[in-house]
Amino acid sequence: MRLHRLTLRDVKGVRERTVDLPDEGVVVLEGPNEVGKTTMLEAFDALLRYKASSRAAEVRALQPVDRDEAPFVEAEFTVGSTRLRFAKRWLRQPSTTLHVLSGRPEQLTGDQAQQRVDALLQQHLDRTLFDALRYTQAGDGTVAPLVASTVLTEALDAAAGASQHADGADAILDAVEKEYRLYFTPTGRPTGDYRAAMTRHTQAQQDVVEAHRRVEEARELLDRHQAARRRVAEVEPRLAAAQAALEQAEDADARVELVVSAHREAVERSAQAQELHRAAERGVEQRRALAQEQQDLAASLARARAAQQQDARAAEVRGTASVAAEEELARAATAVEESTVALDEARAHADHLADVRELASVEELFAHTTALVGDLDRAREALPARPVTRETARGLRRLQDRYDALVAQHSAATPVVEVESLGASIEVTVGQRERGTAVGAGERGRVSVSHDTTVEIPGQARLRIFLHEEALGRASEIHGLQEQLAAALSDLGAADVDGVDALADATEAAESAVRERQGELGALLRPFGAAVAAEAARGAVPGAIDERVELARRRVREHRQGLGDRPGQAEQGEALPSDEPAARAAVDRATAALRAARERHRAAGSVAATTRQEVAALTRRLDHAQGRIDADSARWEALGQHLASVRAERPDDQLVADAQAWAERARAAAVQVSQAEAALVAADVAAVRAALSRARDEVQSAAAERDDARAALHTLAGQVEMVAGEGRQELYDLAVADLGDAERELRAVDRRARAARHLRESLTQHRDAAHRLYVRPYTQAIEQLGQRVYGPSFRVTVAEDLSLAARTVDGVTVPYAQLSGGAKEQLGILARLAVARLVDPEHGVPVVIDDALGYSDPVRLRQMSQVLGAADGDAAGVQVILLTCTPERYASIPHVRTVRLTA
Amino acid sequence: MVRFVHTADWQIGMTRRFLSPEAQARFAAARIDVVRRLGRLASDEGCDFVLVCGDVFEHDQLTPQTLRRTLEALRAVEVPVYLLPGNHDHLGPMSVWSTSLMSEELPDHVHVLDRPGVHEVRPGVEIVAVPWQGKHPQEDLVGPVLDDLSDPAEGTVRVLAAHGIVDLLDQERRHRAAIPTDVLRSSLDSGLVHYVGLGDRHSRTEVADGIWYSGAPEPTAWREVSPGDALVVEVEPPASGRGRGTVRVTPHHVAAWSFVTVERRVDGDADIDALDAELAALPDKDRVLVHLGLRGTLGLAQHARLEELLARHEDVLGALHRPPQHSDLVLAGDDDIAELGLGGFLASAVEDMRSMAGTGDQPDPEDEAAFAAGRPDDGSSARDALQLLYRLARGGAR
Repeated sequence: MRLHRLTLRDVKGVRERTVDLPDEGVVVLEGPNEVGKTTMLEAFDALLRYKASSRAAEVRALQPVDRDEAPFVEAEFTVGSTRLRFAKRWLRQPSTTLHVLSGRPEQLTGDQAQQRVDALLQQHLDRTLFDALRYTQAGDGTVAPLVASTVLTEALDAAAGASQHADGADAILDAVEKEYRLYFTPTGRPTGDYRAAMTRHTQAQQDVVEAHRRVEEARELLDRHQAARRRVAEVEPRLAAAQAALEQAEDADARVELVVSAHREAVERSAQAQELHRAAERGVEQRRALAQEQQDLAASLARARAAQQQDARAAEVRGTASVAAEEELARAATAVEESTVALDEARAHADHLADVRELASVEELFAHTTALVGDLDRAREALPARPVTRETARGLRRLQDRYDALVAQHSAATPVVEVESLGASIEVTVGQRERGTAVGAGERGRVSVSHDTTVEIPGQARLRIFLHEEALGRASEIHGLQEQLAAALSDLGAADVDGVDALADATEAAESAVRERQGELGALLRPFGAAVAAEAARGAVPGAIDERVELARRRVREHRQGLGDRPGQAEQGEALPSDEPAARAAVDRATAALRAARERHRAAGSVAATTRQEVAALTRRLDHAQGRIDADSARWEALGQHLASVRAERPDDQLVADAQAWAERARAAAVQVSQAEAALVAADVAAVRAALSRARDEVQSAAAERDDARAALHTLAGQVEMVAGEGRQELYDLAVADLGDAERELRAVDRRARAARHLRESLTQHRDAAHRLYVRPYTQAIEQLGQRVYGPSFRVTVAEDLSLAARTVDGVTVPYAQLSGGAKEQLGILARLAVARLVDPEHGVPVVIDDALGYSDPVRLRQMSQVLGAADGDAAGVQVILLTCTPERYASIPHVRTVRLTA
Repeated sequence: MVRFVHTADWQIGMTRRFLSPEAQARFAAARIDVVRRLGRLASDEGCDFVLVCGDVFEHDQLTPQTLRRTLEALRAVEVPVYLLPGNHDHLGPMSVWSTSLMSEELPDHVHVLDRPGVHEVRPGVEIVAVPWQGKHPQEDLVGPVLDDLSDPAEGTVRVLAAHGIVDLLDQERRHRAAIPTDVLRSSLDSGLVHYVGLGDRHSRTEVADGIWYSGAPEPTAWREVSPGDALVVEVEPPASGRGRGTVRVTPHHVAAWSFVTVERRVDGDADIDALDAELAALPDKDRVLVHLGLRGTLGLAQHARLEELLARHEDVLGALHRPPQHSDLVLAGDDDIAELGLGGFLASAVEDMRSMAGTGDQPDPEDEAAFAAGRPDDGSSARDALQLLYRLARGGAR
């Protein structure tokens, strides 16, 4: 493909621009940023790629941002050998116009135009190459893996002298892969129907194995069944033989049994005779014992009767003693009672004497108390009517002293006025007095000016003498004190202060007398309680004392009356002592007498009890002895009767004769037993019986064996019948048939799967081989160009998919991914140029480099420019379009043409 | 005079490996269905009874389902049926005849000839039975039975029912219990018996005058000749009371299934067309079991076409059995591939596979104990791969 002219109208920031491009060689499109260099390429892309009716994002992006205009793009280009002019407007009034310029000119519009262009592009434009030879600002220079490019691979085929390129190989590989994936996973494991068929086949195999096992099991069962039948057949004759042997043994045993039973009978008879002999002996013995018992009983009875008589006598003696003891006991009881009464009387008398003494004491207390109370009353009467305390007396004294002192002081400070009337009567008034002292004419009067004083000469003059304020106060105080003193004294009824002191002395003396009386009363009565003492202190004889006197009197009186009630007593008993100690002694004596009486009573009681017990014991023994004598007598009589009767039945001598006869018979039987024993030994019973036992065991064993064999046969027969009914052979056949079917199915799928696998592997292998073939010429083409830039040591490593893998300069190999941005760029451009030169110009596409080599140093830049501009050899016919905003970058490219773009 | 149906080798319970489960089920059902047709044949032809000369059952361990279905079919037969135990269903241990199911459910008009010697069908008609007592008899069973036999009463028809190969057909003397034909012939000659009905051979065979194998009423294998018949036998005792009677045997076809062997050369489209037509012409296809053996040289396209049409027929047929050892199809030159115009590495890959396709296969899996899937690439996988490529390339070509 070759691009000749490109026109943009209303595309992004471009209003209208047409650029003509030379058919071959390098053209630089230069212009400032934003002028729309890249836009031109995008517009061309959109023209080829999107229909006029498309509203794809890329198409809408073409619309100017600031104007509502439909973007229009027209390009003139050659594809294959056909030159075309192709134009499109998008979005509004979309239109497609095609002018075929070469050959027979044609003009097409709309879908027809689009279809024609599509067909031409499909046939002649290698899309992979077209995209790969475009170096864009966005990319880092990496060339896309070019192995998919038909044009390049054809070129490389030619260069390699091989013919490895295959048209439509990708579609076939895709189809093969699709077919392969029907049967295999990406990792080559069976899947889908293939896997299902395998699983089914495996399952069918297992089913066959299991069904076969069951058939074998049945076969084995059959074998065992036949073995069991043989065993039954074998054991039956053995049983018959054993039964015959048993019959013989039983006959022998029957014969022996006769001998044995004869012996047994002899033994039994002997035992019987001995038994009867022993019974007869026992009869004789019993008879003798009976007689003996009767005799013994008679003797014992006689002894009992003698003892009874003895006991009766002893009981009589003990009875008399018992009566005496009871009488003594009664006497002792009476003595105790009498002693108790005497003790009570002695105690009462001693108490009475104590009461009399108490009465005297109380009466004395009463008298003393009465006297003290009288004294107290008198002392109280002596107390002054108006008692003056010592304190009061002292207060008055202090008042008097103060007064006296003030008067003296005032007098000393008071001037004396002497008035001498020279004619007139002169009245001198001191203080407030109503009436002053009149000093008659010519008189002389002296007045102490103890107060404001007026001296008036009536009708003539009035002199006023005013005291000092201090003197005036003093005078007033003196007056006050005077009045106070006078009032106190009159109140106390005393003439003066000394009188008051006397009064205070009298008061103190009277009070002291009262307190003394009270103290005495308190001391006397304190034993009777504080209340009693307080009552007395108030001046009355306390009621409690009175009551005590009365109580003591009553007790004495009562006792006397009590004595009076029994007037005889005193005369009969000893005379009552008159003093208290004697009375106490009498009490002690009575107490001792009582204790002695009680001791005697206890001793008498003990004697009486002992005697009573003895009498009772004797009585009981007598009763018991009588009972036994009665019983034994009855028994003795009964024995006598019994003996008489048995003797009548069979006399003693006959019993003895019978016993002797039985002894004889027993001896004869013993002889017969020993004869039978001899016969028994001769018969050899043990051997015969052992033979019988063996024969029986054998029969039993053989029968058990036969039963066992029959049971086993029976069981197996049942199992065989059961198994026969299951149809195991048929099930096995069916399983085998199913396996056959599963195998058939698996074979069919396996065949298809293997075909797919085989084909895929074969094709992949050859494709990879072809790719390896392409690597060499491609590498050479790049290295040829690269050596002009980097020198002769430049090498590149190209991968099988024809992507760049590494670069080597001066023996240093750097993986492509680790190269610097500038180096990547340079390598990318070199690779594109190499490709462009490799491919046939007719099918080649323009190399477009948008804003590159900005990272290259000046030396490299110059070298790159030389490579870009080289028009020699293969370079001829290659169209190279460089876009840049810095035209000086490409200034050193030879034969370059520059198109300047302006806004 | 007596008329009866002579049949044998029902082989009920037989399975065939080359049958799909669906076909196997129908095949098994057909072996029972034919019993009903035999019964109708007996009624239509006015026969007195049906005589089955052995191998009623394929073996002695059948499922109750199969046994009961067989008995049910026998119930539909209107005349008495006589069943002779053969080598497959002998009287030995675990015999199918001694099962409780058989003793309890066998219909009254069905008789098992489980005792050697004479069985009276009705006065004047006797069957001399030679049942198999075990699977592997060590000597001829028929001779001793005939030795014990006295001459029949005058006017009585006597039919010998036996099972096994006759020495005439066992030229290699592989069977110790082979039946001596001479003894049979002399017994017929002497009038000891008047007809010998045999079983064991699935192909209808007249061994000698009056000595017949009826063949199986439903075929069981491709090698059989004239299977699928039953014989209506008419026996007239000799007028003199001695010597041979008069026997008339009429075969009737009763089978619903057929085994067809197709062995062909296919070397081009014309042969493929012929094969297609031949298969298409088969009647009752779903009951036809075809054994296909193809030899020849075909191009890829022809190969693909052949496979396609065989797949089509396989869907319709009871079975299309293609044992690998019976097929030898060689891939013709590279015209087909060249036609596709595959170039570049595809062409070299094709060349590779083609040369491999010319080599031999891996050991034939049919001979191995068990089939193993996913064997390494070999000649056959190469051929298949080429065919696949042909199909994909043609389908995907522009």
